[in-house]
Amino acid sequence: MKTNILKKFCTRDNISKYIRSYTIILATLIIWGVFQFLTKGTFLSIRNVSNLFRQMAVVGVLSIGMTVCLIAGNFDLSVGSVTGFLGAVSAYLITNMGLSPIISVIVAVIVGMVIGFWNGFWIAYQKVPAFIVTLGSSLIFKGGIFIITQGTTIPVREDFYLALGQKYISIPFGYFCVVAGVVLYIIQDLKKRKDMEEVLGQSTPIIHHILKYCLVGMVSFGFVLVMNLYEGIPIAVFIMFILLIILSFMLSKTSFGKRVYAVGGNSRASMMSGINNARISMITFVIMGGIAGLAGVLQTARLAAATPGAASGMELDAIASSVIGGVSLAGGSGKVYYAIVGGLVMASLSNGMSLLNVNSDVQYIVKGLILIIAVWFDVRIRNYEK
Amino acid sequence: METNVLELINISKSFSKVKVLHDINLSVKKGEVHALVGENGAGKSTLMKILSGFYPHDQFFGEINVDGRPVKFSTVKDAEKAGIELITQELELVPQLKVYENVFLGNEIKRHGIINENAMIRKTKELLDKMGLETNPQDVLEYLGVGQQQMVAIAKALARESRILIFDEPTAALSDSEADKLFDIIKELKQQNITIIYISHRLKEVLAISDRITVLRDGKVVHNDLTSRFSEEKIIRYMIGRELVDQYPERKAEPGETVLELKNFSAVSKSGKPIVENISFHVRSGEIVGISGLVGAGRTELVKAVFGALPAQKSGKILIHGKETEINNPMDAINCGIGFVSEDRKIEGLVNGADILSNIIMTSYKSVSRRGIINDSISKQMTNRYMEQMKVKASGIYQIVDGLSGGNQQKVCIAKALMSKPQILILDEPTRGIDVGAKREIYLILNQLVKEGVAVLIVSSELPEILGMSDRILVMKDGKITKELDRKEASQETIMRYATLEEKVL
Repeated sequence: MKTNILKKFCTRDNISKYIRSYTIILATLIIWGVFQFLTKGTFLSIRNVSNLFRQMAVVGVLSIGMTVCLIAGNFDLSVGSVTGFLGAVSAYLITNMGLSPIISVIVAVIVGMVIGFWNGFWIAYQKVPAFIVTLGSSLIFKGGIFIITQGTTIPVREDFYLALGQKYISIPFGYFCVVAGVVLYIIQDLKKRKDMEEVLGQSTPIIHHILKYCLVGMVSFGFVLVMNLYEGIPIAVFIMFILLIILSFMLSKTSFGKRVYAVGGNSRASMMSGINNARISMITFVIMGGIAGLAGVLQTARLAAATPGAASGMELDAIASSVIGGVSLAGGSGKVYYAIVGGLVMASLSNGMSLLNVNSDVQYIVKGLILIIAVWFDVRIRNYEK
Repeated sequence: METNVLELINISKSFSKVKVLHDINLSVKKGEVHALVGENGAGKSTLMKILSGFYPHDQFFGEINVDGRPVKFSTVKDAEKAGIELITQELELVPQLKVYENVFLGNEIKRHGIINENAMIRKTKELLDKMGLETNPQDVLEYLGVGQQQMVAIAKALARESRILIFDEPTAALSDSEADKLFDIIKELKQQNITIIYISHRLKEVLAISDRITVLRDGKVVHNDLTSRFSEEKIIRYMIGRELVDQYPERKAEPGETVLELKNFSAVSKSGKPIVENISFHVRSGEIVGISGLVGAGRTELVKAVFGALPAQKSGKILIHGKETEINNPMDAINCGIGFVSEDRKIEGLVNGADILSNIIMTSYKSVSRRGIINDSISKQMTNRYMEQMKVKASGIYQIVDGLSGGNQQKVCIAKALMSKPQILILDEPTRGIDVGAKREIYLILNQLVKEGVAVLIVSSELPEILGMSDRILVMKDGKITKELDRKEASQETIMRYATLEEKVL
């Protein structure tokens, strides 16, 4: 019996899955350890950890949308420009037109979705390669940024708007959220275990679950504790996590989500299963566009101004985050939270190297190497699986 | 009088200019197992793709009636709605998804827009239980064996409550015990009044399981009768039935020394599945050896492995001119004097956007270069010489190969293989999709090569071609050579018999 469980546990599937999900966490911990040592304790100081998460929020938000595109077997090279464009649009609406910040955020998200629709139209329905369409859109909206900003900076001085990028949620609310989140997680996991026992007549030992809850609880409480010891969870980071939860839910619990995986994994099979592949791809681009609108707002709010170059190159950071986190460029697999872990690795590298006063040229080189090595590792594991 | 659940009336279909189905009429009764048999390329799969909505109603002629009412399918989904489900050879499943996700793909159980995983898992479990499978619905599909995946594909069709199931070669990837299980399932389905259309090359299977058999040949229905009135010989006779036309130019075989020899050659895929097993044969200079067998018998895989183009673990020996040789990639093979013309010109044969010259010199840049630089006049001269020898009809050596007819493209492929001056020429389906005239020209070219002492190995699905061209014939089934036949003793019947041979008889 025992050997049976062991055998089940040690299938190639499981082993490679564990290698993959743990190496990234292990790598993160090693990177943190090295920086902690080199910066003589500054890196993991409460202030810097809070900073680190605030820095990663914008790219993190984008990488969530990018992951959805990648799972469907596409990618979007225009998000950097689109994010900058929409950030500028929202700043323009507030500063130059005097609109309310809420309206400006809503407009940014809706315009983002329209841009996603534009990309999706060409890619999914007109069958122009995603590379070309999104590269073209990238140029188009780079132009758009200059039209809106006239090549200068648009400052924003609206408190509510700026709070999105600079303020924190209140400390008690932070604790409330983490307690509620962990409790809900445990309830739903226990229910799932019970259901599985009913349905399949077998279940994983309860101790596995208890260990898992301890780990999840420790990490989430630890995170909120550290944030609250500073000033609280940054609102941008909070938004990133909310988005993470929403999209994880969509991908795993709705038929749309399952179909995204199917289209990316085997488009022929999904077509033969009566799925409208083009529509699914289209929706992923619309989601990506809406998220770019949100990211544009967060970026503008963080800097208190929209600048022409604010988000340039972010599309590559978003793709790199997803890929380092383990989302396959081939499509069909990956999870949204992978992208956040990958984003954390990227942000840790930038933050740590900046603390060490490493020049930005060297930073680029290191990040490029890490990206290649991460994907090389992924390819190796995939080959091993076959 | 039982009712016809399905009627196909005067179905015709063409691909570009080639007509592949001619006025097919077919009636299927409710709850029967209706077998569809025919040679490779007889039109079975095309017909089934029409029936399952893969080809929309405006891409073929004819009518489909379901339950006596005419239907028009524009998409696969329309056919599904009418209760028709196709389970194909290439499993239409998503490898990265879990079993239950595949079973309910495109057909998810939802409540308020949120999928009900528990219900889907439970239902999948029920279906798998009913089929006698112990697969866990939560396993990821790609880690299951092919046989199990096949069962998942069936479960998927059952989950849609289809009334007409089409099985296209369902047992090709199954072990004997898995196949037995499938037959039990089919009997069970029949009990539930589900209609089954069963396509298979395995005639014993067809005779054992079906109620009625329709034989297709060259896109036409040639015979339709109750299974009890068929025998294996009778089916084979209807399947091949055509006359051997005098299309194959005479040639006197004068075999010389052995050029290529395989000894106990086996290839195993990286996941450990045997591809070809224990193959031994030889080819002499000045002779043509044909490899015959049904689709999936491992013919293409065998010749690709010899050419070093199959990613697999190989064992056994390849001898060239009696010397043991290691061939790890096509470059090794070309350097050893092997030329290869692949099955699919478009994918593996030609660089479609390039001109004839660039395609022909691709295998042998060295021979047209001086001091590492490609010499224009030499390459032009060589290309011209081959174009003349092959009788390629084109506007010139700079014509883009995309615009050539299939036969001329194939000649370019052969010229390309010949540029490296091979002593062994392997051709996989040398005349597929080529008209009769060009076929004969290719046969003449092959005869000329053989006369010059080249050893030729041909893989072909066309029995007349194998019989007309080869001096010796190797028949393959399930990755093994089941028989070597001499030209004189070979006939379509004997080849078919060995190609469909059941393990137990061996």
